[in-house]
Amino acid sequence: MRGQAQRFGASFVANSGLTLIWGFIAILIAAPLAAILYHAFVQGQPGSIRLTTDHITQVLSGAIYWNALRNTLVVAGGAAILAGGLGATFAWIFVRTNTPLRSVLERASEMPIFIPPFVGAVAWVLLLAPRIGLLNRLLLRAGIAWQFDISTLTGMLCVIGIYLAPYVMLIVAAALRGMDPSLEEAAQVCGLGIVAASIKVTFPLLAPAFTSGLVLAFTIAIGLFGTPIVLGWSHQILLLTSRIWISSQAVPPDYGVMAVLCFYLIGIASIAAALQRRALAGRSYTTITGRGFRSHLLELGAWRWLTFTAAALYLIMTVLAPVVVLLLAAMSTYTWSGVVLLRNLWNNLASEDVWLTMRTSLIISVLSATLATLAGTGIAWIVVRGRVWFRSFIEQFVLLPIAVPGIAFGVGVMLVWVGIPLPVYGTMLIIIFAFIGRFTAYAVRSISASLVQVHPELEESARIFGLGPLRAFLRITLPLILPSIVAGWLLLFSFFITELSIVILLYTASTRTFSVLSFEVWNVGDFSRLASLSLLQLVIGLLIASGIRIFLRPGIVQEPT
Amino acid sequence: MSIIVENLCKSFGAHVVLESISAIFPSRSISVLLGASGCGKTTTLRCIAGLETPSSGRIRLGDRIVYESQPRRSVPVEKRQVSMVFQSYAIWPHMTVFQNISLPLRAARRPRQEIARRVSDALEMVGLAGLGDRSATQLSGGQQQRVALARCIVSEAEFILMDEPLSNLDARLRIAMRSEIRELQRRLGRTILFVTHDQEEAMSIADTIFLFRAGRILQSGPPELVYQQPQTRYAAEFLGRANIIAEFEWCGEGSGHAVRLGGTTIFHVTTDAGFVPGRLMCIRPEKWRISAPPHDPSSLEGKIRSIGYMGDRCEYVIDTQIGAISAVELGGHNRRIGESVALSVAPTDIIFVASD
Repeated sequence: MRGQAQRFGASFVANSGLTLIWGFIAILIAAPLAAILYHAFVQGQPGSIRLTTDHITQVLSGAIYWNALRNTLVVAGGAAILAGGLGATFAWIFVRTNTPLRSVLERASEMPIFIPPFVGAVAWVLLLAPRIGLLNRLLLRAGIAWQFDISTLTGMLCVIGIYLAPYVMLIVAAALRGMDPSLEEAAQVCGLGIVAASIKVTFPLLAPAFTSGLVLAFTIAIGLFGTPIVLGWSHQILLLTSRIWISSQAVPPDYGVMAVLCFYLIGIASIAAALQRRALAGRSYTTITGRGFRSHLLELGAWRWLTFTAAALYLIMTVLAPVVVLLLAAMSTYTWSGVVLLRNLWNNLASEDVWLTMRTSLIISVLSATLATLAGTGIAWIVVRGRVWFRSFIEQFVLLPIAVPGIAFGVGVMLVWVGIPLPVYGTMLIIIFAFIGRFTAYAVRSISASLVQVHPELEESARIFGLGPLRAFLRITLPLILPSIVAGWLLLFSFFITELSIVILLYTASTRTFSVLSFEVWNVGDFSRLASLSLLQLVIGLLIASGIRIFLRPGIVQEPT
Repeated sequence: MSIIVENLCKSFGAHVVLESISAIFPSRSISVLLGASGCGKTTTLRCIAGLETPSSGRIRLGDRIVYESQPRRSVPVEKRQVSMVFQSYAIWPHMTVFQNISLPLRAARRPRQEIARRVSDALEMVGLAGLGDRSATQLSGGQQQRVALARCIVSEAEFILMDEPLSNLDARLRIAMRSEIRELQRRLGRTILFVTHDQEEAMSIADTIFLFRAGRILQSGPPELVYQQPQTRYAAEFLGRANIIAEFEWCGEGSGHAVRLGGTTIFHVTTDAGFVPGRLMCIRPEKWRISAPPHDPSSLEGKIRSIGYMGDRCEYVIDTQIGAISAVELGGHNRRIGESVALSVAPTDIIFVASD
């Protein structure tokens, strides 16, 4: 009888856990995506619901939308190519050459990932915008009439591209490290020179990693919101994400158009992913074996100072110059007054607005990161260890939002809750729901990656020696995957604390976050204050980066929004 | 206390892994579950441990029924009071050697002094005295193996299950550990189930061998019995090398029992050799007596085709009128390829096996 009671208890826990996960998937992931579909194709007046092509026609016949689509493809495509070129080059420099200080440079080159893209954009506006850009002012003072202009398609794709380069760099560097040098050596033994061996062996072997990096950079780029707005607004260079935001500002908001535009974004991301799969089909010869190989370093001679300079220049452009210009702007009483006071930075930050929005951001971020990590741990456990037949189905569903740009997911969440008379819309809850739905996938990925490293026999043996299922998990498996859980939490927290593209659609006056405050300050053009707020975001980002590094030594790939 | 399984069945979806296994694994001895990979031996062990739920059947540990399909009853793993050595050793990497070994006692909430005493006894027994404070990850494969054994020793479980425990060790250590496990069993007097795919390991360690094939137990018994009297061709070939001879003529009754090979050679056989029409003749390579050809109908003549020199013995392939025969001779390093030899065999060394 006791055995039966236990069985019942265990199956009750298991069943309620699964119900929770299905509910989680249905409400937080499936519903937003379905809502986009619904609003794009259905004309919903109360009482009469009919299929419609109105919204699609409206978007297809509007020149402004074609223009936004073109701008998105140009900026995201150009940025991905730039990021790919820079990333692959730096990966090669750091892994395969004897460039001085290459390991320090490599770690420093991961930093741009943790600089919120919005902040990078603000810094580059402060550097290169016509008239107000610091460099342009210096040019003017030097008597040169020519001016940089960052607010062009080229300027935008360059700024976005340099900040996305580290993603490609991380992926290609990992592939280069994991590549068995004997493959190249074998080619050389067969009589190919170093260059020929690279072309015939190394490049094809790296192609899968490079393509993944390229597609990742492209997918991130099409979903960016803050960066293209900050860079392009002054010349009205608008992207799809900008158009979605503009439609959301209309009274009443144009849900149909927003939904169709979200479809564009999801469609482009899916096409990129499909092309990648197609390009790599049948080429699953992974070169990444997990064990590190010590490959021969290329002796560059005097050229190594060139590669060193290139890497240093990259760091100056992405990290050092932005930090300096933000500091200068933050401490100036008004833009480039020449009066630089530390007190000014402090005054900018010591306003009630800053602390209130920071508090909101912290509450939302801590809650969302914690809930998403908990859900992610449970889902990862089911996906890796579960014995239910639908576990791969769960995995597919939970990972789905990764391919959905943040702003599109935000639209979906808004469309779900806008008509439901529960206290969700307009509260912090809706932002938390959107964060969890969109980002749990990252927790699932990082935790299941470390869970597969834990041999199931470790937990089984604990059961054998007398621990119940829960105690076995808590005493054995949990301690072993804890570092990746903590790192996953920090990763999510770093997304959430600076997230703009989802929040911008879902916030209300009472739930303004810190990133929204920064956006508003940009809107009113208070650059000194904007620089102070950006600086604060930058510091938070870099603090989290070092936290993650403590918990998870290998570089992890993160996606800004 | 013995382990009894009755009509144990297990399928994963449409794939049947165990089709009705029934066996008694005798008390206080080592039973070896032997078989090729995928034959169901590990699944049987995991069902007994409670790590796998059978589709039907009954499992009894001593006088306790731990699993039964009708009426449905299943004791959870941690309540079955078994201990286990895993193929990967399953040494918890975030714990010290002491913490690893003491976990069964801590799970049973034993007093601290008792834990300390019993762990240090167990460490001594497996030859790791004084290594309690080592981190588990600093151990070699052989040491991890010993920690896994020590963990079973401190656990009060009557039954020790071992799932390919030696397969990750190098050859020399593997052989040393066999006798250590036998020695340990003698001192502890527990019931051990040992899963392996290595027939040599099985024979050297087992009190009883259970030979598995495709989800069934093909044959069981003491190693020497299973080796010397295999009932099927599969058993004969799995437990060692065997010359299987299909073309022979049974000459029963009249002049005693004998078989005629290739029309001329006549081998005498014992009455209880187990001949039934349709069976195959089986002679182990080491049973041949090799001599110079005396042109005698009681021997099989042939020429040595190849010689494998193994140091303590030589392995030959000999071409005869009934095909290639393998033979083994202790010493015997003075023979040459192409040499003519005569093969004879004692009547008791000829057995007949079912053709599967």
